[in-house]
Amino acid sequence: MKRFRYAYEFFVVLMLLLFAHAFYWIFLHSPMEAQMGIVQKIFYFHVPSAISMFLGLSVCAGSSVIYLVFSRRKKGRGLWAGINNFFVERRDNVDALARSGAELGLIYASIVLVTGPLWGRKAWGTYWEWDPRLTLTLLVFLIYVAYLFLRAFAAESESRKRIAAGLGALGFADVPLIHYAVQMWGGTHPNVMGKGGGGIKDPTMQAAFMISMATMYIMFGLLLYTRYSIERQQVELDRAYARLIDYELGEPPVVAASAKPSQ
Amino acid sequence: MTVKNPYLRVTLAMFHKDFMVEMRSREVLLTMTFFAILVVVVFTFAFYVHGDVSRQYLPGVFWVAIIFSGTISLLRTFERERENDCIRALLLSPTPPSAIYISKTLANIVFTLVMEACLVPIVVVFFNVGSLPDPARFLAILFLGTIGFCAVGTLFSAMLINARMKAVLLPLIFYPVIAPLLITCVKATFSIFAGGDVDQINRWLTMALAFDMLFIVLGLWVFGHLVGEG
Repeated sequence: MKRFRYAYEFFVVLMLLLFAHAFYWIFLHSPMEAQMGIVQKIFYFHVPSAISMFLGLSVCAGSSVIYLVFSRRKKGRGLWAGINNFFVERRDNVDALARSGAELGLIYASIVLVTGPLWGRKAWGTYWEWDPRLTLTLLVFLIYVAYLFLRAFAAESESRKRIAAGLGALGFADVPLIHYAVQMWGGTHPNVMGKGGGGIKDPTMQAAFMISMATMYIMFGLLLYTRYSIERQQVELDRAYARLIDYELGEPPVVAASAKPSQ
Repeated sequence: MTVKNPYLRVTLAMFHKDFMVEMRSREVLLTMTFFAILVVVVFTFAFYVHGDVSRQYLPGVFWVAIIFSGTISLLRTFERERENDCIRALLLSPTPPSAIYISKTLANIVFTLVMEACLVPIVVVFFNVGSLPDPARFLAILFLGTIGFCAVGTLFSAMLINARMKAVLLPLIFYPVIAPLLITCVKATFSIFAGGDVDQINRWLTMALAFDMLFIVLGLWVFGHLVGEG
């Protein structure tokens, strides 16, 4: 991770500055919305969080598919074999990325699920409405909570990573299905949310929204990278620990697989 | 058996084996059916207000009972293969993994359908439904729903074959993923019992069919990757 250290620090500083800037635009510069009042400010965080949530979960699903498809080395020189071996050599990293994506996606989903009802209370009088989009978000949230449960409690080692990858991929494949189902299911309910959620007209509001989006995406990228590095360092640490145990036992130091040491 | 196609022969042979083992002990079928009846009874206690009102809960109670009790069958699916590490032998044999998946799914579908055959009359009696308004479409949604649940459930059951806390984890990952199909089934059943619009019911049925096909295709694809190269 040393390679990117300066870039990383640069982006952290940039993000902090942007956050200050975004707060200024959101709370001081952009006008108060006539009907919603201060609650409308939630919008600037709610929407980027929702998009970041899907970004995180797509990262998880994409890495899971890669983890499942490229599982062993291939001989030959073709492009496919090259791609295959590239990912096979980085299996631990792909797995770490999947995990980081899911965790981040869940954090953003929590933000969405908390800010959404707050908005809803003001906008249409109830905290929760079984609106298609809300139902979709809730179900996706539940699927990926289950994914983390699976990672935490299923059997150790390679097989666990593979079943987690299976759920990561299937859970995401489920998203369009849930979307169609709840949309048809919601037929009798009033469609409380219009397209785009707000439809802001005011240029200062639009600017504040854009700044807030940019800030949130940079934060997403940074958090993803940080979580991913921590996960990778954990794997390295586990390996080092396994080697140390081997050394103390007087066995020749073998480069152990990613098995966790017994605690 | 005189099936020529080797793939089909393996599938049928495994299905036959599972079916015979089950027929001798009947452990899954009996426990599953009894559990389904219990779920219906418990829900009746919880929701019964008045004949007409309670009928609105019928589709929900019915499908919840199917899913809850179906989980019993799903949990047991690979239990026999796990004992003595039988699954390893199966995977070492030149059997394609998808044949294992199909035969297991088939067995689950058959067991669940048998359970449903006992459950439907009981639900009809408990909720005082006079007659089934549209038996053909009701059977269709029953079949489609069962196929979809078993396709996903068998896959997850295979994933968790060696997992610790399997009995807890399977429902945890199974129920959210199955949610769209559950919505479809409950809605379709509701429309059927309410004597709803035929076009609407047909649309739900088409959707259930689409889900089934997707789940089966995904199951076939993922199963090989999950279990095949262990």
